[in-house]
Amino acid sequence: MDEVTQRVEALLPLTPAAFQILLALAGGERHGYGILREVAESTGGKLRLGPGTLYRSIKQLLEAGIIEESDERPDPALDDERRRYYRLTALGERVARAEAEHLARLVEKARARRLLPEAGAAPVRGGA
Amino acid sequence: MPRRFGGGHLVALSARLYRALLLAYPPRFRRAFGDEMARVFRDSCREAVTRRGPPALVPLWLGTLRDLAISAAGEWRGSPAISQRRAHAILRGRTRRRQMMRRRNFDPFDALRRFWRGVARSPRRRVAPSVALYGPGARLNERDRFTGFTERARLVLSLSQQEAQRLHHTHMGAEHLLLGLIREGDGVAAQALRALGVDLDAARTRVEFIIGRGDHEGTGDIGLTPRAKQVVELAASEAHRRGHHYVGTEHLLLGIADEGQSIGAGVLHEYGVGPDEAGAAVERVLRGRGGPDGAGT
Repeated sequence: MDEVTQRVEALLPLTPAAFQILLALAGGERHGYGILREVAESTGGKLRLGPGTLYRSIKQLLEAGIIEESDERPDPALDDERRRYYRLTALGERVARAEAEHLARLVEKARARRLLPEAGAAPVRGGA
Repeated sequence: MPRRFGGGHLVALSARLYRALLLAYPPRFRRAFGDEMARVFRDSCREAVTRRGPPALVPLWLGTLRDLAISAAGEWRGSPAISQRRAHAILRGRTRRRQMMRRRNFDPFDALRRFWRGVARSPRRRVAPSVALYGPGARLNERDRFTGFTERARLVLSLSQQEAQRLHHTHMGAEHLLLGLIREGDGVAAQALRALGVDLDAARTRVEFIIGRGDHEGTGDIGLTPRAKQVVELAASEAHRRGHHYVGTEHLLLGIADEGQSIGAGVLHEYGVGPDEAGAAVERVLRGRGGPDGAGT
């Protein structure tokens, strides 16, 4: 196992907040508020990160080399204040992929134990 | 850019209030991310008010206060936020407090060592196991860590351990080092701290308020937290930078201030003492004394 793989493995499993941040950044670089909105949307409003949790995670993701600052610029959709943008690093992409695979394996297991419908099948509704 | 929404003043007020609350975070974290956090909160307020009107600020505030309490506590403790696995802590050179707590569990090797020490030394010594940190019984790497320490600095380590024991803490962090420095009383650091208005009782109360008291008296060695190790390393590099061939109490104080993230640094910060203030105070004491701490010891 090479050193990078070891570094990736040592980070898993990620906290839900960290994984959601990586998911948001997998769609392209974003600033803090952009990440927050993306996370709220993709979880149907269930996971609402506060600024503290968001930036604690960002700080540690930066330290671990998973994300990096890309730029400081205004967001045309908001106002003309400068915001810091973040993006995934190559290591970050590997971490996100490894975590997704890890979750996929869990889902597979859940299917095997009939906790979830078979892949491709419509979700079970009612007593059918 | 003009934007139409009711409750604009509520958004501005919320943003100002939140900015003030950011004081709950460690200074270094606040300096790095405070502006961004305030901006994110203000953006959230704006969106909430535009979409659902001013009452939407109430749940937003409740959620944010909860987030503030949890994340500020986590940041002071330095606990990992991105990985659920402990190994991650090792990767980044940090350890969770919980891991420290686990040391309380029975360890046959440690018990044997303590028994041996009890046989080999007088009971007086056994009461202060602090000696084991840097005395002849110390593990080699711990002894290495303290090479070049002045007698006074060693005394501070011993006092710091007593402070940790007094609070029933199972580890020795920068906060205990700070208490040790104040308690020592005569060293350059103690004098500088006195000049800065930091006194023992108040500092003790703050430390106890922030981390609380352990459940029962710790047994055996009290190890340094990763942060305290960093403080010791920074102290050594402060000494080196100043061309001092020893590590004195003043360097330990500067180490705590330089590291900046520990509870010890937080307490200093409450007195308005950062690296610059500490450096200046140490300089003043050294000038007044006409020589550094290591001179006589």
